[in-house]
Amino acid sequence: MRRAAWLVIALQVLALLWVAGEREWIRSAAPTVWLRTAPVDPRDPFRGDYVQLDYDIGALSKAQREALGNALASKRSVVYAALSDSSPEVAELVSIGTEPPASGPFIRGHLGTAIDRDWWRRGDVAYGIEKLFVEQGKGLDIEAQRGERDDWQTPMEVEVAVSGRGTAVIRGYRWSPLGIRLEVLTPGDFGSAGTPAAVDAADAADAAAAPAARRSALLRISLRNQGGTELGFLDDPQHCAWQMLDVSVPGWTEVELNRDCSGWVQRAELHRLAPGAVYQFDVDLAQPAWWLKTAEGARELGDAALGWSVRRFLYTPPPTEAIGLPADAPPLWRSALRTAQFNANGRVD
Amino acid sequence: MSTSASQRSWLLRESTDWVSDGLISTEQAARIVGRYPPAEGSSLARTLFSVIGALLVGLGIILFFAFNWEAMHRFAKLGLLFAALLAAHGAGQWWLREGSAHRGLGEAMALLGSLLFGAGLWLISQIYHIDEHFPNAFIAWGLAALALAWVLPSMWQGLLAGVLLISWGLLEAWNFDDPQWLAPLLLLSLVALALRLRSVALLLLAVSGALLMLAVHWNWLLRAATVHFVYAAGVLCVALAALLQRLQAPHWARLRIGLSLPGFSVVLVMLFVLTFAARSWDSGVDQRWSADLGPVLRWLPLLFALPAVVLAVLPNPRLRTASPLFSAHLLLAAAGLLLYTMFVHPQLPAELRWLSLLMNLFLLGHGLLFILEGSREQRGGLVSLGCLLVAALVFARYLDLFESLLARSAAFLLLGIGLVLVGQFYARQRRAGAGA
Repeated sequence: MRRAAWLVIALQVLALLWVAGEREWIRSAAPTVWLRTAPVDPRDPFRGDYVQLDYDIGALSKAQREALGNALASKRSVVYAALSDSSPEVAELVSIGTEPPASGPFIRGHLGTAIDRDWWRRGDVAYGIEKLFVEQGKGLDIEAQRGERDDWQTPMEVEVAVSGRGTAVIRGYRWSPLGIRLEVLTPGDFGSAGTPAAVDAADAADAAAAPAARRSALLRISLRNQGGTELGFLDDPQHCAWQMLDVSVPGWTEVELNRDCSGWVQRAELHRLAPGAVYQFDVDLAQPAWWLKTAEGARELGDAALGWSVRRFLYTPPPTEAIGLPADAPPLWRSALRTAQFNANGRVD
Repeated sequence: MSTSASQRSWLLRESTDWVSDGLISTEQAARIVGRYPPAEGSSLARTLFSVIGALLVGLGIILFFAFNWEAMHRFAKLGLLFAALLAAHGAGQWWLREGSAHRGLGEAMALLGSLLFGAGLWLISQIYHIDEHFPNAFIAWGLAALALAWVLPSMWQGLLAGVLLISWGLLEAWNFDDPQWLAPLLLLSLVALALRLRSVALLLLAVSGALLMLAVHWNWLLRAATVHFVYAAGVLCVALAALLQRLQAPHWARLRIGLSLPGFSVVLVMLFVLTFAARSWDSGVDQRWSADLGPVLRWLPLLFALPAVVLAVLPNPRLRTASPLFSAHLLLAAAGLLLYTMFVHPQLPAELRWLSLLMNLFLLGHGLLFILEGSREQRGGLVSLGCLLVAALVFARYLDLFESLLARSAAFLLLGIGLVLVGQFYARQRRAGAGA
C-alpha cells in the first residue's frame, strides 16, 4: 500500500511537472507572434485578478465560418488559425480550418458555441490565452490604459509563444502605439424617426434634405499617436480604407457602402502623427456616402430594418507600392484597426 | 473493553456526579473509568481538527498564490509549490506508517498534499496564463484525490474526491452543457470505497453524488427515461439500506443512513410531485417523453429496483428479521414506482386522477410510518420528518381540493390536532421506554 501511495504521489508531481514543463518550454523556446486584442466593448468585464482578452483573430468572417462547415455544429471543435508571418508587427488571421496549415505560424483553438455560458466571450474562437493573470490590484492600471467606451482605447498587443502543435503561451504584452476613439457626436434615433423610402444614388441629393429627425448618428473616429516617435498613417479623403462590418451575428460580413472607391489607393495621403498628435474624421451615417448598398438600393443605416444591426469599422492599410511616399516618411502604421461597435443610434448597450 | 469518545465522555460526566452524590469514592471512580479505556488509534475528533487545520492551511496557500506576487519569479513560485507538496505528502506518509500513533496527523498532511496538488494546477495556469477548459482542472484534481483515497485508504481523501468530482460534473453540465457519462461511474467507485472503509459520511456523499450525476449527465442517453431511472435508483437505495440493516454484523447496519437518506429524498420528492393533478404525470414530471422510449427503457429500471425490494422484505435465514415499518416503507415506495412506470404517458386521461389520489395516500403512509417509527425508537428527527410530510401534503392540497373556506379551516384544524396527538404519542412512548 505504501508503494502504491508513493506511486500516486509521484504521478501527481509528474503531472504538475509535465504541464508546467511543456508551457515553460513553449514560452522559452518557441517562436513568438504579436496579437492585438479587440476593442473594449460595453460589457467587457474585468473579473477579479485577471484581465479578459479578446483577440482580433478570434472573430471570424462569415466566409471563414462557412469554410468550417460541420465543425461548427460540434461542441468545442478544434480549429487551427493560420497567421500572417509579420513579427514584430501584429499577426493577422489568414485562414482557419480543422487541420493545421502546411506551413507558417498557426494557433490551435476551440470554436465557441451558443451553449457556452462564458457570456463575456466575444470571439468565435478561443485560443486558451484569453486571460492575463496579474497581481491583485494591478488589473485596474491595465484597465485604465485600455480605456472605456466613448473614450480613448489603446489595444493591448500580446506576445505569444506558439509551439509546433499550435499551443500558445502568453509571454508578455505591450501597448499599441496608436490609440483609437469612436465618439458619438450626435446620436441617431431611428426608432422614432420613421422609415425613409429606399432611394437610388441619383436621388441622393434630394435625400440629403430629408426630414429634420436624425435617424442615424454622427460619429467621429480619432487616432492618437501614443508612442514616443513620429508615426505615419495612410488614408484617403473618402476614407475608403475604412470598411463597415456587420457584426450583428457570429460571422462578420463586409458591407458595401454607397460610395465610389475606385482608385482610392492612389488617392491615399500620408498623415504624419507626432507623439500625441491626433488624426480624426467624422462619419455622418445620415449622409448618402455612408449609406448601405442593398438589393433595394442605397439605404440609410437608420432605416428601421437596419437600425438595430451592430456594426464596426475596420481599417485596412493600403499597399504602399502604389503610393508615392516621400523619402523622409516616418514609419508607417501597417496593421488593421477596429473601432468599437455601434448601431444607427450610435451606441451598443 | 474500549469505548468510543462519546461513551467515554458520558462515563466521565456520570462518574463525577456519582462521586459528588457520595455513591462512590474518587478512587473507585478512577478504577471504573480505567476499566473502559478509549479505543485505539486516532479519535475522530483529533483527526477532524487536524483535517480542518490542513484545509485552512491549504486554502491559505492557494490564496497566497492567487495574490500573484509579481516580485516573485515564476520558478520561485513553482519551487515553493513542489517543496510544499513533497513535504506534505512525505510527512503524511511518515505519520501514516504502520504502528504510528499520529495517524490523524498523517491523514491531515496527506489531505494537505492533495490540496496542494489542486493549488498547483491553478498556480501553473496562473503563471502561464492558461485559459483552457477549466473543469478539466477539477477532474484532474478529483482523480488524484480518488487515487490516493483508494491506496491509503482514506475517508478524507474520498470526501475531497467526491466534492471535486461532483463539482466537475455540475460545471460540465451547467456551464458547458456537455454530458459526461463517466460522472456517475466515478461516484459509484466512491461508493465502493465507502463500503470498504465502512464510512457513513463518504457513503452518503457518494450515493447522493451518484444519483445527482445520473440525473444530470445521463439524460442525453436516457432522455425521458432519466426520471424513471433516478426514481428506481432511489427505491433501490432504500431497499439496499433495508438489506444492510438486516445483516448480522452491526457495522454494516450503521451504514444504512448513507443509502436511506438519499434514497428517501428521491422517493419522497417524486411522490410529492405525483400527488398533484393527473396531468402533471405527463407535463409536469416527464415533459420530454418521447415515443421512442420503448418498453426496454420503460421497464428496465424496475428490473433492478423491484428484486432488491423483494429481497429486502422477504424472510431469509441468513439475515435478521426485516423491520415491519421499514418493509412497509419499501412496499409503498415500490408501489409508487410501479404505478408511475405503468401509467406515465403524454396522453394520460383526466379520469385517471385516482392515480394521484393513490400517491397522496402513499405519501401520507410514509409520513405516518416515520412518525410511528420515530416515536417507538425515540428519534425526534424521524417524527419531525413525518410531521413535515403530512403538513406538506395538507398545504399542497389546500388549493387543489378545498374551495370552501370551511373545508380549509377543517383541514388545518385536523392537521393541528393531529400534530398535538403525535407529540402526546411521542411523549408516552418515551415514558414507556424509560419505565422499561
